[in-house]
Amino acid sequence: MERDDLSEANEAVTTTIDTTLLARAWVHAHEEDHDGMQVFRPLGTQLPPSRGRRVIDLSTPEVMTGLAPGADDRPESFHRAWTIENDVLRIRAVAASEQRFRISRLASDELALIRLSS
Amino acid sequence: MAVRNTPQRRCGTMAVHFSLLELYPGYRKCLTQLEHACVERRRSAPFARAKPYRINVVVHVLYNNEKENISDAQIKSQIAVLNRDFRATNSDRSKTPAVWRGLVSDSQVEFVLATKDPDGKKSTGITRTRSSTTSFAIDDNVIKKTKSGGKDAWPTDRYLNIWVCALSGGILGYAQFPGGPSWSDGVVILNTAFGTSGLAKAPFNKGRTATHEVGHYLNLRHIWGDTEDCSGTDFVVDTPNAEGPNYGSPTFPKVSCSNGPNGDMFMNYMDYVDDAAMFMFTKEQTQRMQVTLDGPRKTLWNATT
Repeated sequence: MERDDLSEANEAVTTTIDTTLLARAWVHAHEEDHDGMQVFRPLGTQLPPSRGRRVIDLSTPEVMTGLAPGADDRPESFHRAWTIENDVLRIRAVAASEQRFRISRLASDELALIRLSS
Repeated sequence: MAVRNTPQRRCGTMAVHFSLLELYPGYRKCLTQLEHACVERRRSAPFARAKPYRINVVVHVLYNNEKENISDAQIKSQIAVLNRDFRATNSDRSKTPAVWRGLVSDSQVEFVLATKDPDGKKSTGITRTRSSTTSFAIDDNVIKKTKSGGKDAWPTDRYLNIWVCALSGGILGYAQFPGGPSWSDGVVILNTAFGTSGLAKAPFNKGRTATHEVGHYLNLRHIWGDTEDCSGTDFVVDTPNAEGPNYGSPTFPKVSCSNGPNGDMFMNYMDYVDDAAMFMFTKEQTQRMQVTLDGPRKTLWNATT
């Protein structure tokens, strides 16, 4: 599934995601972002140096662990709750608003997310 | 394009910054006092400094092979960039969008390679250490310990210590905020993201990684406030709130966190864009750095070294 028009990203769809493909750790390949889409590759993929990258680990149902650039540029770990509903990935932090992403593309070597408005 | 391993997840990874906050009460106290001092400075009448802060720098080159033993020219190219960026004499500041041009600020900070070592002997301000370590980890500060294969800092109250090396973890560098342990104070930069010549490699070959890290060293935060849900702050009011780091070379305006019409100030040195896409500090960032230099980092520019 692929979408070019961001306005379509908020449309309700009923695509079901293969959660076995999704259940792994992904690293943000920000060099490949395009048209509002954030592209992730399986953790361990060779990528060039970066000021910092986000890692999300979806291998545990409902509990996301990850890394994000910290205040001093070294990675910090974080924990979130996550759920999947059709093709919408919901990520929620304690005491923070929920973030929703449409899964635009999912393959063994790529996860592409489009941020949905809250 | 260089290929490196992506950051590897480690169980129990804890941010060094937060670890220091817990382990060193003085670190937390210093940062808190600095926030109070910044508020006070904001309330006081602005004043122009008579002369710039001048900071002695020592660059510690750690190398595993001769190629990594970077040249004096590469090091000097980095010092030149720091001086241009912190004095706002960088030519690319003209690319600042018109709406923010009035915020571009000369922080009045200058950098010079130390001419004397800690014992008062003549020095180039550069140390060179061959190490058996092929790439230094980013969370153990081994690079800052001679007995572990790194290089001890020169007295951090008198010198800005910059370690340059091969880094694991896929990042370009890291810094220590003011008030932390003195032995580890300074910044660490990947040797391919240092300066503008030699090993420096695009898109990080304009010396802006050191500009960014020294910004942290002088207590600047990322413009997105280190959260990715618009709830964070960089404690500076003239940088718009931003949702998260920007990468590459964005097109103005890039709106997030209801910060339209002008959007994120992604051209600020404290964002994550490519070197060629960042070219400004703001007035409030300058104020924040100067509060730091008048406070916990005062001995740096008062040193007679």
